[in-house]
This record gives sequence, structure tokens and C-alpha cells, in this order.
Amino acid sequence: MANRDTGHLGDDDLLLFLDGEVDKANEAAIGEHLAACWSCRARRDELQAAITTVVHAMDELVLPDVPPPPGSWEGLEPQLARLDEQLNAERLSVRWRTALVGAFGGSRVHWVAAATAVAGIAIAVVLLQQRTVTADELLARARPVDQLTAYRQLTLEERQGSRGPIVTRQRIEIWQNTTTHEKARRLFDERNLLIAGEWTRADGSRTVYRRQEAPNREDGPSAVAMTPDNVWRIELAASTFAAAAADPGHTSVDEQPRAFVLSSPFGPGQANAMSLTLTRAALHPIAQSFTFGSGADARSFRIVENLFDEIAADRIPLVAFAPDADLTGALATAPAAPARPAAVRRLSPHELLGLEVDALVRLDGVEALLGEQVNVTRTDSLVRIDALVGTPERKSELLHALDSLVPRWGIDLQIQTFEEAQQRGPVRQDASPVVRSVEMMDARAPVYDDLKRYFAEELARKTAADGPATNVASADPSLEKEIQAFTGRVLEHSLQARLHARALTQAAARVSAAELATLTPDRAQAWRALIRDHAAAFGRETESLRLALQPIFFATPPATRSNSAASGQDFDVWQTIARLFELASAHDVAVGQAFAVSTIGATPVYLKGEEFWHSLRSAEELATRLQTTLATLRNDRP
Amino acid sequence: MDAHTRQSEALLAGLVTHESLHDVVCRAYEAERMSVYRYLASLGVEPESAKDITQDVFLKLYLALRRGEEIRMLRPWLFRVASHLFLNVRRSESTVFHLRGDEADRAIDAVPDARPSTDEALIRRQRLLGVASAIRALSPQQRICLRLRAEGLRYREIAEVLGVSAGTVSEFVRRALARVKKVIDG
Repeated sequence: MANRDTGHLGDDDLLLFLDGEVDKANEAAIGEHLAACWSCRARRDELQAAITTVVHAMDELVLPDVPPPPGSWEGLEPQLARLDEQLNAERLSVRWRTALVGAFGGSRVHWVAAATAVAGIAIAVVLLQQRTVTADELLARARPVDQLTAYRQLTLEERQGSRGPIVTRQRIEIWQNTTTHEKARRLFDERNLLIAGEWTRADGSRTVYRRQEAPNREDGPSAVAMTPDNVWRIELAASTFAAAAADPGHTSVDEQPRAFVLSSPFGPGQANAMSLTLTRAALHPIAQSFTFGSGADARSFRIVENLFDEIAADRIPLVAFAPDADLTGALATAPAAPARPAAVRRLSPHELLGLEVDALVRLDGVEALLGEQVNVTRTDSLVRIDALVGTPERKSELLHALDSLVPRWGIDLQIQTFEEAQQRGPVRQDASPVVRSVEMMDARAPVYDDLKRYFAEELARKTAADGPATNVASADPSLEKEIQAFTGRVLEHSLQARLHARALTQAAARVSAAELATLTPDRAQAWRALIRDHAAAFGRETESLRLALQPIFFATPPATRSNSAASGQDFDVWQTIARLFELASAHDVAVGQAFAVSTIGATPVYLKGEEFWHSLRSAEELATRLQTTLATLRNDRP
Repeated sequence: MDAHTRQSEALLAGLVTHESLHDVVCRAYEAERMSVYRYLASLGVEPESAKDITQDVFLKLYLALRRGEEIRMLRPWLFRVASHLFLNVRRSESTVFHLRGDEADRAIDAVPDARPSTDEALIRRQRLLGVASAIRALSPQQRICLRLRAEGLRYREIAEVLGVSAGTVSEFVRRALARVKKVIDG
């Protein structure tokens, strides 16, 4: 369990041990190490002391400090009684499966009858309690998402045929204010370019803009003519479905574990089939599909909800209901902008910056800045987070971490799994991900001979200590294993250092010195803590790398030079981070060249030179300096 | 097992003796509502909502027991459900739960210290104040981790509450403690 390079336990292992979260085998190993090692025991005690202090601080200060509950506690009894009433009422109103009595012909009923015969009446009672839901009932009870003041993001996908490949994938953004009856709907293409928009005013009149077309004004509330070109203007709502399903008798309901799917062979306008998906829990409409034409010529559209945020009307930004200059700019006769409620406003650059820092800190909290394809950028109205992740679990982890960001409408979240990304077209190859796999030991790495000499000597020393010296065979399997494990560790330290340097660069790039000064104290502190943590981790990994290489390549460590870069008067956090990134990349390249199998033949190995050792040292010093500088920074002096 | 835990286990034992479910839940409510309320309030939930959520937690307890769900440890169960409700409310509301940072620090500083002001007590209090404000500066996730861990939930249980992996929980706890240690070390 002890770290192979330092010989000591890591803080993470110590914590897991203290918390009783390690498995039996490791527990014993850690216990043994602790029994023998003073320094690890001391660190364990420090960690325990921190835990004790946290508990005291929470019990004595954090908890008593909370405001007392308003008023006195109401008794629970009346609420329990109400709950009982509701539960009993619900049971009575359950529509019994009359089919059991009325229509013995159905195949399902045969099954029920058989089951009853075999297992007695008890099973039948259980089945009887299943509720039959009708399409009418679902549509009536569905959440009236079009009647709420909200921000909504939808994805609109078009397929060729009913199951063909996706042809286009667009994004729809909707702002709706039910107090003023205003609504704005914007359509973006795959490159996030605004291509059309529809603005609905209080009187129900609508203006539709399309890029490079004159605006088209439609007076009075009337249904949108349903053609393939207009699908983006259709409301993803139960009301759309209810209005178009000519005969409810033809609507079928598919009960799925988490959703109800309603399908109808009728659609609005030219559409000839449609479906609506409601979540089971809240009956919230989350997807709707329409099909036009049939056979090979069929075009099918699917609208899926990405985000639905009910918001207070005064939190809608000022720009939401103003037609974008993008669409109207070229036109001389732009219609008058709708009256704007006084309270609505646009996010200020300062708020956007704050939001961006919050996003970075939360992403870092789930380790998303370490080598994943995660990118945070800021436009003049939005903070955009792009991420490409491996698994659906990871995706929900990221979504969850970003959940508490406020305001949500200031965030454009584009998180996809690799699988989703592939379904939606060829994956853009990003230059930034750090991915490496190295075939080790089938051929020889440039430093193989050095490693072999060192580990053979080590092995010889060990055997000499144990008993009579034996010659170490040149291809001793345990020797090969040692070399392989060592190579793996060195590559890992080097990679980790580079990943932390990359996280530093990413966080530093998002906030300038001037911007840092404008952040709230909490955010500034969070940002500095983020930088400090990664600087510390970078220093740790680089040190581990140096300590691992030292005995092999530097039998006597070179004398430490006084490093002018790290001791200068003007210490710039951003320049230092840029320098760390350069160093980390250079180190990683050198390590890669030295340890990865090479077919180029003998090349000079930079890693073996003193320069490399000094470079590692200087990176460590810079990282330390970065940490201390950030620790002493005051809020007013970034 | 501390006195608190013993007490709450005794409450659940009432179930075995066929005491009415209403009585069991009401007694649990009397005994534990302040802990649940303070947990929520310490996460930054406004008093009014914290009180509502607290009541909901006990109504859920009633529903769970009525369904025949087996609850071995009452307190961890209550905190888990409270955390779920807290996170759900956060998710469904677009308003920020005001995380009482600086403001609370000032409030603490203003509270007169009732204990004898020996040097030792003062130093201890100063240190705890530092730690308390460090705890407030943690992310909501990290604070939930510390609170729930202090309440005896396992990493995997906390992971379930937060919807992350147990590894992430351990990372949250490690980082949170590292911050606190920095304050202790000065």
C-alpha cells in the first residue's frame, strides 16, 4: 500500500483507513506499515486531529449558529391523518381492471385467470390494483409546460426514413413569460449559429424571422401550419398532442418503467404520425416526434427536452424577448421591440465571469479538469461548457456537479458521451486530450540498459543480504517485472504532472489578474484554492518522478542551483502557470522518449542529463512558490 | 453507539411492539426534527424551507414504514432522505440557496462568548472559528460529505445521496480535510 517511491502511505490511503473504508487485505497491510512507521503514524494522527476539529467546529459553531426554525413546530399528527386520507382515497379511486370481469377474451386475462387458479386469490388482488391509464387521463393531467414562466432548451433531430441516420440536429431555446404572454423561440444550427426565431407578443401576434428572409408577421393566435419546415415552432406539450390526435380512440399508451409513451396515427397538419413521451413521475412532456410522408421518402423529427427551468419572471434577461440583431440587423423595417418589463435584465460580464468560475470549481470538484475533454468558454451572454465523456454515469456525475449553477439559463451545457457523439456524426478529434498507451517491454526502451543494470544490482544486493550471492540471469523474469512496474510508475507520475499542469492552464486562462480582483471573496478563494491544489499535486508528482529517477541516473544528485526564475521579485501567477505547463510538457516528452519503446534506434536521452534533473527541480520550486504566493494573496491584492 | 443513536434505535424498536405507526413517527419527529432542521440549515437552506423539508422527511418516514420498508438505523436514514430532498429542491428551483458565508462569519464574531475567557479557551475558540469559516467556504457537496460522515454514513451511502462514485466522495472528504488542516496549521 505504501507508495513505492516514497515508501510512505498517501493521505488518501490514511483517510480511507481511518474511515474504515479499506478492504481486509489492505487494512492489514496499512496497519502493519503504521505499526512500524513513525512518520505515517504522525500524519495519521494529524488527519485524525483535523477530523476531531471539524466535528467540534460543526457541533459548537456551525450547527448552533443556524437560525432557529420560524414559529413553533406544528404537530405531525394532522398531516399524517391527511396523508392517510389521501392514500385511502387514492386506493378507492383506482379504476379496477374491469377487463378481468368483462372481457375474458384477452390474452392477458387468460394469464391472470391461470395465475389465479394456481396461486389463489392473493395474486389476483395484487394485479387488480394495477391502475389502467388512458391517453385522455394522461393528457389532461400532463404538466402544462407551455403555461409556465420558464426557460427551455430542446434538441430537434431529423432522420431520413423512420429509423434512418440523423440528418440534422438543431437546438431550440425558448423563453416564455406567462404574466406578459410573451414568448421567444430561437433555432440554432449544429454550429450554434442562430438561424431562425419566433417572437410572440402579448396580443398573440407572432413574427417569424429566418436568416436572410424578410420577417413574416402572423396576426392573432392561430395554429402553426405544420410542415417539415415548421417543426421547430411546435410546442413540445400535451396540448399539441391532444389537439392533433383526431380520435383519442386511436391513441395507444405504452407504459414504460419511467415514462408513458402516447402514439397516434394522426399528426398535426401534414404530419401523419406522432408520439409524445411523458415522464412517469411528473407527467412532464420530455419528447415528441412527428413523421411526414412514408416509406423511403419519410422524414421524421424528434424533439427532446434538455432543460426545463421554471423561473421567476424578473429573472428573465432583458435580451430574451428582443429579436436578435443577427436576424433583424440587415432589415430596415425591423418591427418595434416588444415592451420590456422593467425588472428583466441581461447578465453582466461580471456575473458571467462569476458563473464561469463557479463552473470551473464544480468541474474540478469532480476531477473533470484532469485530462477529460472538458472545455469552459464565455461568450457575451452565456457560459458554455463542452464535454465529451466516456460513460453515461460520468455524464450524470458532471451534470449533477453543475446542477447548482445559478442562473441556469446563463449556461449552455453540451455534455455528450462518446457513444452519443458518434451517433451524431463523426467525432471531432480534439488535439487537447492526453491519451497514451505504451507497449512496454516487447522491444527495448532507450533507457532499458540503465534500468536493467540498476535493478540487477538491487536484486543482487537483496539476495546477497538473504544468503550466498547468485548470478542474476540476464532475463530473470522478476527483473523484467521490476523494470516494467517501474516504467509504469514513471510514466504515470509524468502523465499526472502534465494533467495537473493542464488543469492549471485551463483555470488560469479563464480568469485574468484584473478579473480576479473583481470576483466576490468566496469565488476568489475558491479559484485560488483550485490553483493551489493543482499546483500542489503537480509538485508532488514531479517530485515523485525526480525521486524515482534519481538513484538510477543521478547516483549523486547534482547540487541545487539557486533558481532565479523562482526567486525573482515579480512573481506572476499566470506566467508561472504557463511556464509550468511548458516544463510539464517537456518533461513528459523526455520521459516518453526515454521509456517508451523506440524504433528510431539510439538517440541522445535528454532525461539522463543533469539539465533534466535541474528542470524537474525548478518546476517543483515554481509549484511551491505558486502555492505560497496564492496562500498569502489577499482579496484586494490578486 | 452514542446516546442519540440509542434513543433513535429505541424508537424503531417501538415497531416491534406493534405500537401505532403514527405514534412511532411522531415520537421520532419530536426527537430528531431539530437535528434534521439544523443539518438542512447548515447547508444554507432558508429557515422556512428547512422547516418544510424537515416535516417532509418525517412524512416520508411514515410512508416508508407503512410500505413495510425496513429501516435499521434511523438517523442515517433521515439524513439521507433530507439530503435527497435538499438536492431535489435545489434542482427544481432556480433560486440560489443562499450559502451564508461572510455574513455568518460576522454573526459568529458578534456572538459574545459565554465561557470563561482563559487563554486556552480563547485560542481554541479562535481556531474553531477559523475551521468553521473554512467549512463554510467548502462546496455544498464537500459540506454534505463532512456532515453525513460525521453522522455515520458510509462513503457508498453518501455517494448514493450525491449521485457520484464512492471514489469521488473519498476525494471530496480528503480535499475538505486538507483545507481544514491548512487552517489548523496556520
